[in-house]
Amino acid sequence: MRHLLILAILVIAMGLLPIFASNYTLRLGTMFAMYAVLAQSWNIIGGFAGYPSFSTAAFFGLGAYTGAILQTQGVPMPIAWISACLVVTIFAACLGIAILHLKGHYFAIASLVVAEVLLEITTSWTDLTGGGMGINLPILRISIEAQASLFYWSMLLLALLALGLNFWVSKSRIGFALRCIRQNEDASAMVGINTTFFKVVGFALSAVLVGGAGAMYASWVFYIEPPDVYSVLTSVKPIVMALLGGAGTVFGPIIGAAIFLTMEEFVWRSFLSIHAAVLGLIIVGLIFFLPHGILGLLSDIKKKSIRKRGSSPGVEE
Amino acid sequence: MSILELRGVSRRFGGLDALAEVDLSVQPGEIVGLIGPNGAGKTTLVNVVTGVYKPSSGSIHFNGSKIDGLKPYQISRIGVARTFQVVQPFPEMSVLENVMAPAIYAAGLKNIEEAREKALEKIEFVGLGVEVQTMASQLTLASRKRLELAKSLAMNPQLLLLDEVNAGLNPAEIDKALELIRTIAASGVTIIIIEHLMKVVLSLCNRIVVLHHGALIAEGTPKEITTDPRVVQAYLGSRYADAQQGNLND
Amino acid sequence: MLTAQILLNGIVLGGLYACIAVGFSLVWGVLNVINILHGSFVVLGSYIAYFAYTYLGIHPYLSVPLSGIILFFVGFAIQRGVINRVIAAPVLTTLVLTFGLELIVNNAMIIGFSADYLSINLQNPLGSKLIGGLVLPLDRLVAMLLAIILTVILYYILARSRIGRAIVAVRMDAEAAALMGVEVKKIYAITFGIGAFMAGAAGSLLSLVFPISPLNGTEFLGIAFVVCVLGGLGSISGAIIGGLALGAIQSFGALWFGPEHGLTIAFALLILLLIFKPTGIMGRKGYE
Repeated sequence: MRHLLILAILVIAMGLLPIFASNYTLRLGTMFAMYAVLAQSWNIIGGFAGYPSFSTAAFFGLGAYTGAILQTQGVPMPIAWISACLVVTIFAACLGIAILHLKGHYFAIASLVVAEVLLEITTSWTDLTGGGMGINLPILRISIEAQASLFYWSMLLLALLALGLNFWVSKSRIGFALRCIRQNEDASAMVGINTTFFKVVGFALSAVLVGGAGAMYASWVFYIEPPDVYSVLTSVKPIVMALLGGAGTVFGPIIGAAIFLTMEEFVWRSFLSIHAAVLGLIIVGLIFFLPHGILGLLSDIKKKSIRKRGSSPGVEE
Repeated sequence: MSILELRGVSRRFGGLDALAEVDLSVQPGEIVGLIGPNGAGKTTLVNVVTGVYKPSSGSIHFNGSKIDGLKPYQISRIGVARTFQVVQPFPEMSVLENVMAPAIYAAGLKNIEEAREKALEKIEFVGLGVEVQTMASQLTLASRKRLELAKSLAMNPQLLLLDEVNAGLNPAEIDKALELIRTIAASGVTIIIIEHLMKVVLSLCNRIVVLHHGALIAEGTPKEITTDPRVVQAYLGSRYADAQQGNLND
Repeated sequence: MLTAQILLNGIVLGGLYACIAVGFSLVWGVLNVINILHGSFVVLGSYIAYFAYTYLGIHPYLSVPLSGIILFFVGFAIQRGVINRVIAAPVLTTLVLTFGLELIVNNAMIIGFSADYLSINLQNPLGSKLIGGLVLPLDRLVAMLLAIILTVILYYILARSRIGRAIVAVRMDAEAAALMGVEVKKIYAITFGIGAFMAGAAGSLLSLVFPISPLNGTEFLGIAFVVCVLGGLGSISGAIIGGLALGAIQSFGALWFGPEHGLTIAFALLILLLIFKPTGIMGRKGYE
């Protein structure tokens, strides 16, 4: 209950941000919310189910282009966003059926390469997508400040939905099944779990909000081109964030997103020419020193201190 | 009506016949022992019945309905459960969660509370009550075997296939396991048990089926099996068979 | 005759692809690590060839041992120092780790060499010969033959030498190999080094065919992926067949769809293969 209270306070505080924050801060806040959406969404297929998915970029890019194309056809922005979620979910379900029977490296590669193929298709289909020249989205006839607040609140809402989705999945039959699948997929089948069904559902759930984030991103920046939204870093960063905070936990990814964004902003401002290398160093450091993420570390520390104090029978977490 | 019926079931891997034209009919309530040398096809038979492999030819019927071709999770849901020779727990989950999984997904209990109660019941039944919150990876081998059994029972099986449940257990543990199996059988579950320990097979089973090189070479009562020359030659050895004859005649 | 020409072009390219891929395949098969750095290793090999030619006048084909050895030590050090520490970790961990290392190496190359495309202009190129109506680009042909020879040498090292057999043993069963006295971690480092060697060597051979830039790393990595899935993991013959097949497919693909789609065709093929037959056309199961 205490956690919910803290969460509620944080949410309200974040919601009130536009009142006293600068546009720059709002931009940061919007990026944070977007990162949170991507990381939390990945967590469902990567953290809970244990399938190393690199398809976030594919979902994001597809969502961005769906939203952008619809908006240039005159579709109102919110409808474009929701449509993007729908299109990406259907795509993810189909893709999932095609590649979720693969394990380990093979699945990772397949999910990674999908974005590349989508990128190429997008670049070639100039009539629909503007090809390499990108798409310009219609401008909003509201003030810069209002726009900043609008996109901030929209992304924040999406982030809350992502968090809620994680929470719901972790408590539901779906989450339980995904956890079983991660630990022993053969045994899962033997205890009556339809592994294909649950994996595809998990994969689709990991895509729905990412599609929306992509569409929102497109509306927010007003101009997108293929390498922008289908970048492989869009697949890798959410994984790093989730690992940083603790993959497979409910709050790990969003915590990781916050830490990552802070580091990224600092590095961008100070070390522009070597920011890729610094990101690489962060990744290497993460793998060595925080294999279970921050939440994992905290939980290990807790377990150690319980053991040190000496456990009496019956005292259990 | 037989509860399990295999007709002409074969399973080929490349050039090898792991199962060759097996005909088997199991009646409800039986305890059938499945014996034979290593590589005879016993585990393959269980894998084919539970849907892990499709038979290369032949058919399998459960309570009259065709089940060959169904996926393992579907077969779990209609009342066929099995244990694995090398136990397959969910290592990072507690014993309770491990047993709740089949209760929820195979037995189809929608309500978490119901599933928990059923799981606790089966955990108590196999004697793992103390370990309810223990993580599966922390259990001893004997406890893991019992966990495996509890999981299969949580599926409400009509047919239970036990694959070498006693491997790795000491004699005291084996006796306890036997008691458990007898109790399960007494509650109406049909059992097929793969076993190397002849003392277990002979005392437990009312019928024995012998596989050799994938083919069913003999079936019958314990007495019939121990006197069958083919079985003696392929598996038992004559000295053992004679000694057993002595036991069975007394 | 057009078909024959296209096929020839494809085979020449394919031999080079095989050389790119064989080191990658070895590392994946033995260590179960997908080395995202592999593309950058190839590029480094090309740079070594470039500098060796520009400042020392060494022909790129002669600098093959040089780039090979330098990259061997680079690879060995990275494996020994970094990757070996997490060798038992799940797929995600090693993949993200090599990705992070690749970011560092690639960034370093961009800073060190700049992203500009370089190319080697030979003083005395071998040119092309017209034989039987087919145009034979001699420099490329020699490169391809050297690539195949290198690959075959690797095959014999694996099959005949003590180290080679230790590597194969570790591939088949690392635990059993350890029980028989093989220092598994050292073998991992050596194997990774060999993989890097082959990448560097391929880089030297490719320096006459492809423009040299850190930005090309991804393309080489993609090629390595596709060849592995096409030809099956961890086997030299698989890499050769996969390489030749990819070369041929890309060659015809360039004719039908345009040369700029070469990598996309490869990737689309990759996905189709993964969906329908992940063990590749050789049908051999690799490591997951």
